[in-house]
Amino acid sequence: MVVSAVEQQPDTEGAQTIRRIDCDVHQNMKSLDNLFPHLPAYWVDCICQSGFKGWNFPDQYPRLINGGIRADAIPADGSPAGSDLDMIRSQLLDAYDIEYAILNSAFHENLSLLPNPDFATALASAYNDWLIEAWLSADRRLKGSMLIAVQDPAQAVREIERVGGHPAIVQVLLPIASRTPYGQRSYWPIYEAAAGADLVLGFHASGMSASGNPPTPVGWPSFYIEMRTTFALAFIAQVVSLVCQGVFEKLPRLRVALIEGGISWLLYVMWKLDNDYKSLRSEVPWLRRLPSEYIFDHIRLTTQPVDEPKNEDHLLQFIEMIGGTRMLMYSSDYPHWDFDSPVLALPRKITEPAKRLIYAENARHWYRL
Amino acid sequence: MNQERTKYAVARADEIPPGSRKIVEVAGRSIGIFNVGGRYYALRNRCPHQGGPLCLGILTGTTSPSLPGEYLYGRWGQILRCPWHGWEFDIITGQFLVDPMHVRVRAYEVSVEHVRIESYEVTVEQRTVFVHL
Repeated sequence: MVVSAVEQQPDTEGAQTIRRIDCDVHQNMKSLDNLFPHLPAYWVDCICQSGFKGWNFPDQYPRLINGGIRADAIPADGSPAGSDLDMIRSQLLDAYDIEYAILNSAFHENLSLLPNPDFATALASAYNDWLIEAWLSADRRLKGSMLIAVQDPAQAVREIERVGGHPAIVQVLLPIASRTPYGQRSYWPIYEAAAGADLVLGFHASGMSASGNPPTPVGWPSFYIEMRTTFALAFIAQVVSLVCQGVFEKLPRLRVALIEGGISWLLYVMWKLDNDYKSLRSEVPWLRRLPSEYIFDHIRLTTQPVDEPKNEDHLLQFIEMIGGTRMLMYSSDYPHWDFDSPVLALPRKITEPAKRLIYAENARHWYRL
Repeated sequence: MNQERTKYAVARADEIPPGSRKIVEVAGRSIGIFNVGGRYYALRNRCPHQGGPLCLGILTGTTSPSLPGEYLYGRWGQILRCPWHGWEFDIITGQFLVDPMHVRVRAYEVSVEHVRIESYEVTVEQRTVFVHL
């Protein structure tokens, strides 16, 4: 009689036959100490003396289990999930034969909302240096999102110019929640720098706790399940802002990725904006095309958390309505609890060509891999 | 025609006291054996949702349907929550609590029998848990 570890997960069958690029993996530091070699002495002392531990917290809405992490992804020594490269290799990269994984550490979540812009900038720079040294140099499959302190655009631009050219850095990552809408002109120098460095501008479902704004226009919901559903409101507001303010007219080369926001709300935005544009164009005369066309050309969405309607055909029709399979890029969100398995998450009826696009080729094109 | 099922010894009864579990590999399947209140249950260690390692999940209670603001928490130790997406399964029936009629994890018949073990001079009768596949 054998007491075994978990059998080889059956959902890795077929993993070898298709290329996969995972557009959302949350690697982690073991602790803030990881950044000390990359931080000026002043900031190291500030952190140690104040007892600042970073924001490795699950925020005000308790996240179901383990602070939001899959139970089997926590290292045996108790370090944070995602801090062990060997586990990421065995549970994700090797298990599913992932060609590239884009690292979006949870460290970005509230960095841009830290009140002290100089502290935030120092942390962002140290993070970027640590990312390059500890991760991007350790495995050629790993690509990185660089962090910036958006609250200080001038310093953020300097940081993009400093590390944005690294060959394994593919994206500038921001939380979807912000103090003011992202389309507004005070942010434009950052976007110009990102476009100039040929980096994707990525917005991830995060930042709610620190933005100072409630997740909804009607105040603070009580339950975690409510807050998760209302994340889409932040995505809607930011997409509308980016499009209507004319960011894509100003920067025709800019590519945006919306990460972990879901996809179902996008149809509402396209239909509503296109309709209203026909009446209200004169208010936004810098827009020369239908709003939905800017979305088709400049924005892509990651698949996780994938919708699971009862009727799979509805999801396929829906994907067609929001611009087709070219709009989507597979993501796992490893190691979070709502992780999407690369083999079982997408509808079985998706055609082979569509699978190739969603699982790899769209991301390969978008991130220049 | 009913297929003959094979039974596999998976544990000594005293290895799995009430409230505990053991993950075993039987005929190429990973199976979790649970002792709930002195009775044994066997569930496939694969969540019907996305294939996660269900039997490694949280053993818990749950809230039954109630009025708004009312929390009727019970069935402690009878509910298994998948470590991936937190889906709740009734260990006793294998049913997914949200859709018990249509979604369940594969459950296996379990029996506990006395097995005679002989080794040199000693013969011992030992309560042993069998899973029937």
